[in-house]
Amino acid sequence: MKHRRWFYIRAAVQVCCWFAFITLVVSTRDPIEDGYLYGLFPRLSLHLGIATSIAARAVLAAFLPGLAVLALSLAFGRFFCSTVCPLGATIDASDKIIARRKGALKPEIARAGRGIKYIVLVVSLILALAGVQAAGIIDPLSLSLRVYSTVVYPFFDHLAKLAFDGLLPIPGLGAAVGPLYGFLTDTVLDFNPIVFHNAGAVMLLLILILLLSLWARRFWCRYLCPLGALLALAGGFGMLRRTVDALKCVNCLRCERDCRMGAIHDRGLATIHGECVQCFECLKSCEHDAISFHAVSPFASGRADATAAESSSITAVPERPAISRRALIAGTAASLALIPGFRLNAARRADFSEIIRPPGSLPEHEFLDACIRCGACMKACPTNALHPSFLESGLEGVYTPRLIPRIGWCEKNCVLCTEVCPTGAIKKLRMGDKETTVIGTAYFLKDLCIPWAEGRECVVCEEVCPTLTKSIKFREETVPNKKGGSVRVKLPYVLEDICIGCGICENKCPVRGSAAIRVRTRKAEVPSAG
Amino acid sequence: MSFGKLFPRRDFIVKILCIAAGMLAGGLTRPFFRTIQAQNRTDGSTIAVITGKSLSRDSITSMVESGFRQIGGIDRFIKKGMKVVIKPNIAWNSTPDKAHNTNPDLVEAVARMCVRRGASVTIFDRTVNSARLTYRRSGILQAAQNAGASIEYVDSGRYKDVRVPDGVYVDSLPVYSGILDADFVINMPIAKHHSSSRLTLAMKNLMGVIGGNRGYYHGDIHSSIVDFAKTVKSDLVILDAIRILTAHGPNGGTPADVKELHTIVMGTNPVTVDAFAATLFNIQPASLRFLKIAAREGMGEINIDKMKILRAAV
Repeated sequence: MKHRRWFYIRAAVQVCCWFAFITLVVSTRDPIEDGYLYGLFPRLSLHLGIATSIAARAVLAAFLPGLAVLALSLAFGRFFCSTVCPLGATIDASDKIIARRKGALKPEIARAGRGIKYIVLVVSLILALAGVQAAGIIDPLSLSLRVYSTVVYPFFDHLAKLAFDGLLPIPGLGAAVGPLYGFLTDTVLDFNPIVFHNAGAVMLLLILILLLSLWARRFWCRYLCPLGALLALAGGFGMLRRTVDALKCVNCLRCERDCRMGAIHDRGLATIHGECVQCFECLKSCEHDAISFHAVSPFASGRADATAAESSSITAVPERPAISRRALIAGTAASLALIPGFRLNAARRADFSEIIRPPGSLPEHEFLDACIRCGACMKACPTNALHPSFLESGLEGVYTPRLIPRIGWCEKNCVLCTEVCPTGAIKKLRMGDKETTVIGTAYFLKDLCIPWAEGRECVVCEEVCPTLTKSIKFREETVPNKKGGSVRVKLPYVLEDICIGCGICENKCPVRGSAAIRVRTRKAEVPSAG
Repeated sequence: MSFGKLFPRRDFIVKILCIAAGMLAGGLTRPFFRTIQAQNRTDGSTIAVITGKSLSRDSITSMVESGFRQIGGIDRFIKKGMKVVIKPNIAWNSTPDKAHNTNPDLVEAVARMCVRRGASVTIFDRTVNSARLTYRRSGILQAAQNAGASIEYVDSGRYKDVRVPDGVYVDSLPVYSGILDADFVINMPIAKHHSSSRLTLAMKNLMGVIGGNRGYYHGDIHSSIVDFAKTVKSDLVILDAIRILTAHGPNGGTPADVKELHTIVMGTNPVTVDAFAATLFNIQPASLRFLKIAAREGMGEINIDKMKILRAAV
């Protein structure tokens, strides 16, 4: 009880980190001068760093902050999980809402289950070795950035606008909240109504993770998180450790019951260091001031402090987590089953693809390896053109960004997505590069196109085409119109060599439903079988 | 003395009703009066054509000042406390050198003069490209800040259906309320090539305050342009021909397509200003269908010989 302030200080740091994360998510939009900061959180994940470096066959210096986290873990244990991790904060926050069944997990299962996260880590890395980027799908940092960018933010953005739409027309009240609305639209609300295709599929993973808390607090962090596994390995040697004064301890088991990680055992006396996330909740729980956190040699025993330990019985429990032989074998077996699952992708075999990638994206194969599916590009896009794919490009393309021109086009003189990409899956472009960066090619569906099909004037596509000499041209011809007469109209066609596939023509096409001009990927960028 | 004696109830109610009726009548007839005033202010067939020396901000500012002098001084148009709307062309996410949007220095000079006259000035356009990027890259955002004017992003929920008087193509159009609520509208187009209407000038510039389906208007762009000009009043037109885009408009073009004319055209009738502007591209006004229809509808003079052209060079 005496040291409970450490619990509140830690909680305050966690809230601050969460707000920093949210601030970065919200401000991932125009104007952006230097995009480094917006990808900071995913860069903190060494799991992403290692897996992506392996998958992309290149050491990615972008993930240096992850190494710093690892170094700090050697001093402070698995502090990252209870302070910095936004997914951890989300799980902690939802903990009050999601009721847990007491003792739902048998202690033996709870103990053995901790090994699963090492299997997940092994699977993630072996898949990376096989050229499958699965790390981005399950890593807590790319997962939270993706969920907050494409689901949580649009949800609250929409809710706020709905509230203001209701409040603003009310006489008197409208004038009062008007300035607030103006302030919010300038700062946090999105400029346009923002909506993401496949948002439900993105949310699904988070819902599953939160529901797991029904069986144990921080179920995900204890049993599944691959980054947690990595930090547990380092944190096992962490020097800041929980120690119990056995003379003061009355074995009330409060700390053991309250521990969110299930890291305390042996009647409150012992700690599994790699599992302890330094949340200091036990300091708050203990009414006898028996618990303290000290710098201890990384090779010291995991049990209560030395003088007291002699008087209590010693039980054989794993003190440090480790990748067991079983985890390695299970992980390898699981990977062997998963690799074909990811790689047997129809899109790899097909000689065409419907998926348009952001401007500056690496060739499709390399892109799939380097993209960590964090959604930063989608949040940054000012026209809401980039959306998470689901199974459109197979399991290996899950949550990768795709451009859907009917929803938004690739804005000329805009390189925001290339600025914020944390891994370089989208190469940085300069403003001038955009004019020649080809992401696709437009084609007409003449059965839908107004001048071709109905003999009426249109050529909106030509008007909005941003290429210098216009990649949409037209020839004037006399064609039959719908009234049985004939009429002279401009019939548009595409100059494929000039078209950059930005998709503004498809977006602005006045035909109802699907557009009469559409963008497809270029042949050269289509993944070949392999 | 009691309160009741000072304001006998019946008297009081009658007075209140009279005042309310007066306000109501004033409010209802205001647009009517405003129309008459706007038409009487100057002869619509009079235009001022000002030529400057360079692209510099100073040159452009003196062009605007000279233009206002030619057409009778800014005091004739802008009164203290007026709500002035400036409607430039800010459709494309491009820098000023491309001649896709109205010159920001020109907009700044005009806005500053109105602000100095005591008016509150708002600047907006319905962009085609992403609005925030476009306002910034076009230089208009900075121009408004420099001049002390405010900018507004067009809110898609704020259009009102307005009847088109003797509509050529449509009977009614959704018009942005920002422009309907203004006391004075300054239409500030840039003169450029356009593939479907051949040229986009002052009349076409009004498309930026019209809502609805762009594609539908493109079905008969010339008639639509006439209907825009019939529905939305431009109290003053200041046409930007400082740089004009002669091909691949309205948003493409190589440097060779951009011509520097250092010219602005001012007038109170968009039809007349447009007819003159056509000649800058060596196009006969009568060969532009939207001008021919406008002339037929009696909306303004398109014959250059019948215009009163006040020229000045600064």
